[in-house]
Amino acid sequence: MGQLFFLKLLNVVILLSGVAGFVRWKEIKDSYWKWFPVYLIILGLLNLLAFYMIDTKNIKSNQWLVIYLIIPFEFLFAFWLFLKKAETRPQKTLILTGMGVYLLSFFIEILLKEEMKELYFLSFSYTVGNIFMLIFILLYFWKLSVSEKILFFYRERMFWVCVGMLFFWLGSLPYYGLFNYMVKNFMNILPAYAWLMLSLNYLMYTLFAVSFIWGKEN
Amino acid sequence: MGERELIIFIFLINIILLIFIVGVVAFIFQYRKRKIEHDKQLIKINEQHVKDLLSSQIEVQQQTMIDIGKEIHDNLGQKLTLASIYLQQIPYKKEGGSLIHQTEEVNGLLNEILRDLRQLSQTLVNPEFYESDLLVLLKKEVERVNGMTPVQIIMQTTEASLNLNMVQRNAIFRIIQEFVQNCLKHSQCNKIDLNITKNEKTLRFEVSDNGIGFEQEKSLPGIGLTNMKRRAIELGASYEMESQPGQGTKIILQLETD
Repeated sequence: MGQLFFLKLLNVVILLSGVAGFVRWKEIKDSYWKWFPVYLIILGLLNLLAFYMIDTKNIKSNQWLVIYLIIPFEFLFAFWLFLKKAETRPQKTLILTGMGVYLLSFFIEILLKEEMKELYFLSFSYTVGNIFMLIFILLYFWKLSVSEKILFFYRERMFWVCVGMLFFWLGSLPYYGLFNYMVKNFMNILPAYAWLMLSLNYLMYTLFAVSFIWGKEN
Repeated sequence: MGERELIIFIFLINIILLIFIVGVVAFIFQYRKRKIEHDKQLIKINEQHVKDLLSSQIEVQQQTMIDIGKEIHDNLGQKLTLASIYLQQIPYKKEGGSLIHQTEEVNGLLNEILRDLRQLSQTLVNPEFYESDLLVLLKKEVERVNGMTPVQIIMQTTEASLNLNMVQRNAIFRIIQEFVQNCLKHSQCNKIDLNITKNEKTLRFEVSDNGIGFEQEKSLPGIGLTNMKRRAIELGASYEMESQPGQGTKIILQLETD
């Protein structure tokens, strides 16, 4: 079975993690967490659409969907989640700044980008967004480690979400950050690295499902 | 992307990786530290709990000793004194009905003393007495009387438990027990009603028999009656006794609950 099969199967995992959220709907329906399974279902459906475009050889539309919609959607939702979790004003300001800087870098990159080839990625804005994401994850872990909640960290829904995101965003930083460079110079390592990315994706969405199963709001 | 940008990028990734490795180590360290503190706190709380338990046990024991002391002094002591007085009077009595009556009185008193002593020792060897709810104790007493005497006690209550402290429970139980004993001995009744009701502020015990009753104004209160009233007063409860010849006897005991 090739990589494409596992990439398609990943969509099922994304949708299943969303379903796990709906299984716990009663617990989360009164909090901002209710949007998380909704996000996962939308993301799963968008990815399915992206694969449909590949199957129908509509590569440009697929690129457009992934680069201009799916990736910013993932970033902005994750930033929004951190914003909701933030307790102090400086934290919120930092997250909003991160969001603003990411969006700015995204639009600048769109304006200055080269012509999109078949294998192309907006690496600059991705790197900026990814670094902010890692900063927010680090801040979350730091806040958790100095609070009483650390004693029962495994019950924290955000902990599992952050662990999943940490693996994925940290692992994907060199991949997507150097994507265009690797396409030009190291095309032979790209498929191997893609397998790693696929594994990290599986891990992240599994941990998202775990966050619904083990996580407690209070 | 030029070579310089590539070097910066790789350097940046290395720094980030390093930060996260340090972060993971710090997180584990912090977790362990907190866990040890938490465990120590739990041990402290447990120790305090054991101390509190011990101190309340000692308190209960002290209260038990006080109650036994009171029981011996106020009840047994008085009955023995009375029996002693009767015995001292016997040599000066003439033979006949008066002497027989005096001997019977002494005999009755000694029987009462023996019964009281039995009850007292029962409460000492039976820790259940200090742990059970008053309703449980009363039910047992009712079963005992109903099984051993021709008198039937009918107990009625809507409550499942009364949640009284040890002093209140002990005193109320003794008052009711004393009343029942008096009924069995003097009232010639065949039925005793025991009603327990509770509202937001008060707990009410109403005990009545269908016996011969007595004239309250003309009769001198005996030790039993005095003890019942004294116990109620000590408890801060209101105590009423109603009796008329031919209409039985009734006591109403009301205790305020917070």
